[in-house]
Amino acid sequence: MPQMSRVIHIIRISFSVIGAGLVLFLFLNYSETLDTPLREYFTMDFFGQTGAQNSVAAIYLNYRVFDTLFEALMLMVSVMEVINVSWRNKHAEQYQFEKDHINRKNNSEIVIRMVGVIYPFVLLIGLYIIINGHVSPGGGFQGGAILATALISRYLVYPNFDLDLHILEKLEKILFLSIVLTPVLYVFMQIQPANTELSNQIYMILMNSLIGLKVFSGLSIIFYRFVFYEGR
Amino acid sequence: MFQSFLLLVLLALACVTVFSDNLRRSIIFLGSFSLTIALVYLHYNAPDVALAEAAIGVGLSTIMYLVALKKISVYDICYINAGAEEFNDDQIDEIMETIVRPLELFLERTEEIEPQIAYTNQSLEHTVKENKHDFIIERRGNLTYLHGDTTDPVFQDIIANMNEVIKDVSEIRIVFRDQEVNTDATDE
Repeated sequence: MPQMSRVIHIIRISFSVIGAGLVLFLFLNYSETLDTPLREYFTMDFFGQTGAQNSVAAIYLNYRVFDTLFEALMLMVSVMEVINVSWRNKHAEQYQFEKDHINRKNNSEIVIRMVGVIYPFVLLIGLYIIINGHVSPGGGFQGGAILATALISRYLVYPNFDLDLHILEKLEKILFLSIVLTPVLYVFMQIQPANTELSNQIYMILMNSLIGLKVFSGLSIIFYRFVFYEGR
Repeated sequence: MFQSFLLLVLLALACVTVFSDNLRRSIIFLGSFSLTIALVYLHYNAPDVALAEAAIGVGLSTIMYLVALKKISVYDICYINAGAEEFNDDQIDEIMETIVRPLELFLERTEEIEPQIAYTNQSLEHTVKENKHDFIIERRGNLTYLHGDTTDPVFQDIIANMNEVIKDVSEIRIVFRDQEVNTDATDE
């Protein structure tokens, strides 16, 4: 048997070496020069067509909005996985939640003061990045992640569980539904009140805010589930 | 020039993150790795990606790792050198190679718990009264005393693997704190 497994081992290693060599060979010999039709399509007149001053926002909210829908779906599926495939479900009988377990003693005083000072600025920059996403770098995902960081740093100061995760969970699903509906109506079916720059910009801001809130609730749910339900 | 400097810093930070002995240090190095790679993205004209990396890599994942590390168990070790009159860093450097490093490595690799070592020159009674340490190493002249509980499996493992854990110390006595009363009673 050891002889056999050794042969298999050698076959595996040679297979991966040959595969890597093939990929590298093809990659290094690939010298086709393409014209730039796609780049021109995306960058020539994106401001006039979509109303976004930032070409990245133009791509992910208008030209390639289909990708955004599935990214949002992916985050929602992972949140649902975290909730349903949980350690707590298997050990429900021995699990009990400690209520109002105020535990400030272990936390550093420096961290508490500094988080209190920084907190409003973090919220402000998160909202700024969401609302200004179609003008400057940023957008819904980045702003939502910063907002979630603000909520998570709250745990460092006040490690008690008084959030209602069910509301956040429902909010996330409703937000996902509206994230799907808005571009389907506005971009795919072209049901627009007026095809002007202003309406395009309102659509961008609306989509960015929806994505930002959804990412915020999704990441917060994942963090608080991990901290309060998965730990022993 | 600036570009290759950034990439080399990235490589160094990644290596330090992987090879670091202490988990908390690894997490901080990972955060600085994320910050540097955000700078690299900015240098390559991708501010959107840089913003996402800064928010996720530096903010979210660092806090998440730190909270997770806080939830795993920490083994509290105290080194007492009551004979020393003055307290300075040379004494810590002295025991660094013989006791601290091997003990840290043993606890992390074999027991998979996080060691935390304190150093003091106060007396044993004072230290025991002040804090509840899991494991106390006491140096009295040439003798080294190890204090611990019999119910503590980690302490038992340390004693069983003493040759690996504590190097270059010839005279070692082991004191079981919870059995002390019994042995006194038999002596009398």
